[in-house]
Amino acid sequence: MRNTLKILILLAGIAVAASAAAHQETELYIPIGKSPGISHVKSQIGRIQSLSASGDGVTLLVQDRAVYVAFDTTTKIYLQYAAPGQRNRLGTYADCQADRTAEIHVGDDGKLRWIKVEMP
Amino acid sequence: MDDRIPRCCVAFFAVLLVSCQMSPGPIPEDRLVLKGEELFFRETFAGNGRTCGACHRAEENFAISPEFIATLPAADGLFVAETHPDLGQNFENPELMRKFALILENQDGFDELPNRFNMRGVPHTLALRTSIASRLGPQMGWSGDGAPGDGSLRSFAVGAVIQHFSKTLNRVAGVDFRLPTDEELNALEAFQLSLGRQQDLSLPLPLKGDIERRGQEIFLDRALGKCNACHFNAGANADPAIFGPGAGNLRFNTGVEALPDQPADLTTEKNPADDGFGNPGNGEFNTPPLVESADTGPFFHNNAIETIEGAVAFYNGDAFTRSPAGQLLVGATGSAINLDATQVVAVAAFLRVINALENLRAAAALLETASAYANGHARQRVLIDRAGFELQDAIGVIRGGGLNPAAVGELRAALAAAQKARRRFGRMRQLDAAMAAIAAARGQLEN
Repeated sequence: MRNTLKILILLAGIAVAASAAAHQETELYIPIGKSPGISHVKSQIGRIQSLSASGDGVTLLVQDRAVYVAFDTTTKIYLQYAAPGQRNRLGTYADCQADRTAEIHVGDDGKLRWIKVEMP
Repeated sequence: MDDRIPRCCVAFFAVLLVSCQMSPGPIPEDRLVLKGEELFFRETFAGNGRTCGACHRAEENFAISPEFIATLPAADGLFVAETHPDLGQNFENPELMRKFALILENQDGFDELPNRFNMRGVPHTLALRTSIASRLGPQMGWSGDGAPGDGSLRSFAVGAVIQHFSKTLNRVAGVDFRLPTDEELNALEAFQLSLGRQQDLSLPLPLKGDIERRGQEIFLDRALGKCNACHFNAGANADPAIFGPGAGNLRFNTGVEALPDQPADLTTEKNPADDGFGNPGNGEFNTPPLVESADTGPFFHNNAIETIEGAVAFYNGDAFTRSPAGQLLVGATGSAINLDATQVVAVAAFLRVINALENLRAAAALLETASAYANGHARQRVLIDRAGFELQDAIGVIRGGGLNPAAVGELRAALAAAQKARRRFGRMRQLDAAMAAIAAARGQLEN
């Protein structure tokens, strides 16, 4: 039975290590500043100031403070449209253009979970 | 003959009239919870007409079954995909909904609606206070990733409105629906947390019946049923002695998706494989509580199994044994679960009886709360009706297992008294009678 405990605790530990806080995909449709429990608590909203030369990060101007975030392979890029009839959709790094309003959420592990970009 | 109305009659009716207009009396329930209940059943969030209660029905333990769906009128909010032209494609699958109570979810994203979706049953919202917390973070929905934002129960309603309440597939906030306010999220959370059990059982229970008592033994036996490892005390949490203190609600890949001949797959409807937690998924689904299982079928995330006996027997089969969770169990205990038919039935009988005991607890609590209102308060009927649902469920789960006719008799007496209590006159007496019968029924099921 002691071996039972060791095996199961080991595997439970693996499960814990592998688990990231998961986001339900409906986050795509939640406007900037409205993510429950995240916006204004665990996110930052500002204007995209510049993109990194290596193409894997952006600098956001948040209340006159420059904040750099690196994209992760799992980072979701949510494009937010305000025009009638247009649907929010997933975007790419190329959509993260300077001067666009954006909200970023970095997880407890330091990885950029998502960036929401306001599209013209 | 003097045909004037006697003065005593006039006085009597005057007193009656005045008493009807008196103050409604104290409200014995939490006001935030009541606000949440109102939102849950009435608020459409400016969407397609659905409410949370469209799928999570009070009459059905806050879930829904094909049998219940068959009773609904065509204009019911559940059927918006059949009545709203903008939702006629890629919003629901009416055939799978009506046949198997399956609801369409886009938990892997909204970018390829015709192909990227899964069909899942409606999970009940009972005992959430005991079943969400986990060291993996709050486990919402079937696969633990059911809520946007911070992933909490409070945030879950936001995702539900977006997925299920939208007027069109554009899902534009402020156009197709409105997002719940912070106050509404607080109220909805409070209401949902108030439903059902507020704490786990402490097994073993002193059950009276031989079959369910043996079923409990098998359930707890680490070499035989092995159930308690993942469903500690028949709840949703993992055994802390095995998985560590504070493990809470965990996720496992139990191989349900590998089941052959799943009912929805036997139709000609598209039914993509469900990969569980994450995107892409890892095949894991979080553990549901078992106390409420016997009266909340069909079972598993895909409603693949209709009966509680079938759900127990699943763990004997190849799909589970070959799954990562099944192999974990084999490795840890030296063998697969291998119950014979009578043992499966015994475990199912145990689950039926503990479900019935929970029905009784819930019914008694509802009737007690009804008693605390001033007689005639509108809220009493709501609570009495809910108690009636619980009693009907208890009768169903006990009879369905061929168990304890004496308990069924007491349950019927309790239900009859509760139904009489719907009428105002004599209500308090009938409430007392119902609660006495509930106590008697409990006495038939456990010592």
